[in-house]
Parts: sequence; structure tokens; C-alpha cells
Amino acid sequence: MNKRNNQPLLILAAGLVLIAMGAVAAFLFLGGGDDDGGTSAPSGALREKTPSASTRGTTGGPEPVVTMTPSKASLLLGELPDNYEVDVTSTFTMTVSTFTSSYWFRSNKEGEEKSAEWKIVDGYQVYFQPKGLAAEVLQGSPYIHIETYQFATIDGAKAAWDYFDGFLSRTPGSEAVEAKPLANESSAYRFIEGTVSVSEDLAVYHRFSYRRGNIIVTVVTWGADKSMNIDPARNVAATIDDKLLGTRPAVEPTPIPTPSFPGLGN
Amino acid sequence: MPRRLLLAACALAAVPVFAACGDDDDADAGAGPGTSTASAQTAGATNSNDSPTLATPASKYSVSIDDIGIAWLTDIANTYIIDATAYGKQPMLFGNEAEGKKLLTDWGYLEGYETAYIPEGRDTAVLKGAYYIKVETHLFKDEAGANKAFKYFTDYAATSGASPVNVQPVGNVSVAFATSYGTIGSTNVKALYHQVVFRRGNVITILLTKGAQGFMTVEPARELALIADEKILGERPAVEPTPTSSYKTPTPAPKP
Repeated sequence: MNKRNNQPLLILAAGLVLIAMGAVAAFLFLGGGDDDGGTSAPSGALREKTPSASTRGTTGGPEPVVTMTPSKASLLLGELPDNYEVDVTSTFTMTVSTFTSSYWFRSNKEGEEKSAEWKIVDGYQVYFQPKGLAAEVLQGSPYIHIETYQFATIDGAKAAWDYFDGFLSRTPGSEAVEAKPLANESSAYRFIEGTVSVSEDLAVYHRFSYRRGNIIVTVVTWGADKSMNIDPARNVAATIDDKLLGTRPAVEPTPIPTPSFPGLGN
Repeated sequence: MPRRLLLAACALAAVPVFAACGDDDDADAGAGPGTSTASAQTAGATNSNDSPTLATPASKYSVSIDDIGIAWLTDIANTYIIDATAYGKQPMLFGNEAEGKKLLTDWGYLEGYETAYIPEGRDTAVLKGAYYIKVETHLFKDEAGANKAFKYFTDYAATSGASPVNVQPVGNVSVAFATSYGTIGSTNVKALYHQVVFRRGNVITILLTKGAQGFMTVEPARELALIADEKILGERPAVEPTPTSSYKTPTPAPKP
């Protein structure tokens, strides 16, 4: 008699267990977890049409005070496919003045104040472009832009990181996307804007940024939305992080020759 | 083949050049036969069945630099008047000089004009969506002769390897082709050629564009064709261009 009386409760309990299992399964399959090789992101991050599959690099790990120059840590042309070249006019070692006047700040004054507060000591930016320019972007080769910043202290880099990430997250149109974290802190965003030159293909910027100790690296790609996700940017970021950690050779890039101006004495 | 040479090869035998251009596997060829008639015109086409008989000079009915804006430079080396004798010597088009002369006489060939435009920035601009342009204009004694020439051109093109492309009609009758040949400069980006050939009255006009894969369709060539067609119909001013070969840099007269 007792057994019969308990039967409805057992059925109810079994039903609840099944519902709970279903909810867990749905959570895992629909992307609520880190089920795709370690990819994760802040809550609300967007899973792209082609989800990130980049898992390279070290998540977490040491938090060093890196002394190598940012240009040495950055990516070399030889580390990209043969169809790339350096956009020389946009590639240079950054000074405090170029940093303070960069897009990160609303005014030069703000840049100067933040530079002093964060104790920035060096910076380097490099632009790579496919030799086929926008036409080759349509074939899947994005423009790549890398900024590497070095601060005197880890605390300075942390403060700069908070500012940079806040800047990116508040930029209208900027969307956080799913990507496996890298280094001590990292973020991944995309920004869809316009088309690739005069084509009808939507253009998209992806930006993967991270902090490793006293270094902040931000990698931006610009490509056709139909063929891009965060992975090219993240893979470049992971390559640079390997250099910062000493697990990949870091070579100073060949300096770009200073232009000469005949007739001006040099 | 260098770009200049290729365009030069195209100059006097626009349709047959695609026979030499080889593969067309990346061209945006349509499924249709590539031939349209004025009666099938739809939005965007000049809505006229007029078939005028125009007099020389042929250059009046070409596309001028003023028609296309400031983003192009005239390719002066490839701008000239075509006479029947020179045109008949094109081996790719006619096989031999005698055959060329015979056909041109049969068609009543009067005169032709060719010009080309280079995008400012050249290949760098092409890799960002710009394109090269070449325009040929051929005048015949009458519509019947022009029609024979049009059929000859298009029959030749049909066996040349160029792919027919569907295009909104232009003129009394028109065809369009596309082909891929070579790359843009030293890049891996394939060069695409699009060509629209149309006849209006006693005039045959050939528009050729060269651009980068990913950007190019037949539409720019067709838009240029519409400009030429408007001139033939008198809907747009048809001005004889200043002969480039006689251009001299102005110099002040020496003072006594």
C-alpha cells in the first residue's frame, strides 16, 4: 500500500531529474559553457557565425615585467603568408606624443595625463596588408594592425587595460565575441561597418586584446564579414604572447629606411 | 602578358582578343545566350528602337573623359582613329589581310575610333575597386553592313572561349562577355575582363573593362555602353574629342 502511495512522488522526482538533465544538456549544446575547446567570453558575448576555434597560447600564466622592446615582441612579416606586405607609412615606433594623440583618447591632454599616470615607456604599431589590397580581402586575407604597449609597471598596465577595455566595450557598434581567453587578461570584439571598398560585401573589424604583465597587445583585423571571425586576430595575439613568455624567438624587425630627400643635405 | 600589351592586343580586335585570353573559369558568365534585343529592354536601358544612320567622325559617339569623371586618365597611346586599311590587317580577327579587306568592303566600313582610360592610381586603385576602360566605335555605311559585322564579331566571340553574360539590352542588339586572364600586377588577384558589344543603327560600339576579381561585374561596361548609346541617339551631346596626336605644349612666342 505504501509503495503504491509513493509511486506519484517517484514519477514526479524522475520527471524533475529528466528536466534538470535536459536543461544541463541544452546549456552545454547551446553554448552556455566552455564546450568548444576552451572558448569562453564575458556573459552576453556573441557567438559568431563561424565560432572561434582558436585555442593556441597560454591562458593565465606568468605576469612578468617584460623588458624586450615592443617592436621585438611584435609580429614579423615573415610570420605571415607570402601574400602580405608591410604598410610602411603606418608602421612606426610610438612615442609619447604619438600615443597621446592616438584614437584611444578624446583629447591630447587626456592622453598626456593617462600616459603619465600609467607610466608608458614604449610602443610600436605595425600594419600589414595583403598585396592584393581590398581585392584580396574579398578572397579571405584581412588587413592586420598590431599595437604593442609597454608600461613601467604591471599596475600601470592594469590601469591602462581597464581604460582600454572600457573604451572598446563602450564604443557604439562594438560587440564582444566569444574567444578563448589569453594571457593575464583579454578581450575580443567585432565591429561591422560599411563594405569592403566598392563591393557589396560587408566589412568587419575584429580586435583581440590582452595584457601580459606590463605589456598590452591589441590586434585588429579588417576583412569581409563572410569570411572572417575573431580567430586570425587571436592567433596573431597568441604568437606575440609566446614571444613575451620566451617560448618563441623574438627578433627585432628590420628598420624601415629613413627616406632621403635629395638636395636637403642628407 | 603585360597589361599594356594585353590592352593593345585588345585594341583592334576587341571580341577576338578573348580567344587569346584563354580560361574563363572565374568569369561571371550567365546561363543565357548573352544576346539581347531592344524589344526586351527593361529598366535602365535606353528605351528606343531608333536605328539612325550616322556620319563620321566616329569619335563623336565614343565615351569621353568628361563622361566618366575625374577618376580616370586618358590612355593617349591607345587613342586613335581606325581606318579600314589598318583594321583589315588584324590577323586575330580576320585571318589575313585579304580577307579583312574583303569583309570590311562588304560591310561598308567607314571609320573607327578607339580610346582607353586608366584609373587614377592604376593597379593600386584597381585592387580597391577601380577598373581600366577601353572603348571602340565603328561606323558602317548602313545598318545592314553594321549588322553583318556585328554577327561576325559575335560569332567569333562565341567560339573564342569568352563566356556569354546576361545583360540588360543596349542599342538595337547587344551581347556581353566575360573572361578571366592573368592577375592584377604582381598580386594573386585575378583580372576580370567584361565586354559589352552593341549595335545601334550603323554604329557598333565595344566597351571593355578590366578590373579585379571580387569587384567587377558586367554593369560598369553596360553603363558605359548606355552613355555611348545616348550619344548615338542624340540624347547626350556628341562632341568630337580634341585629337591627342596633334597636341602641342603651348609656348610663348619669342620676343623680337
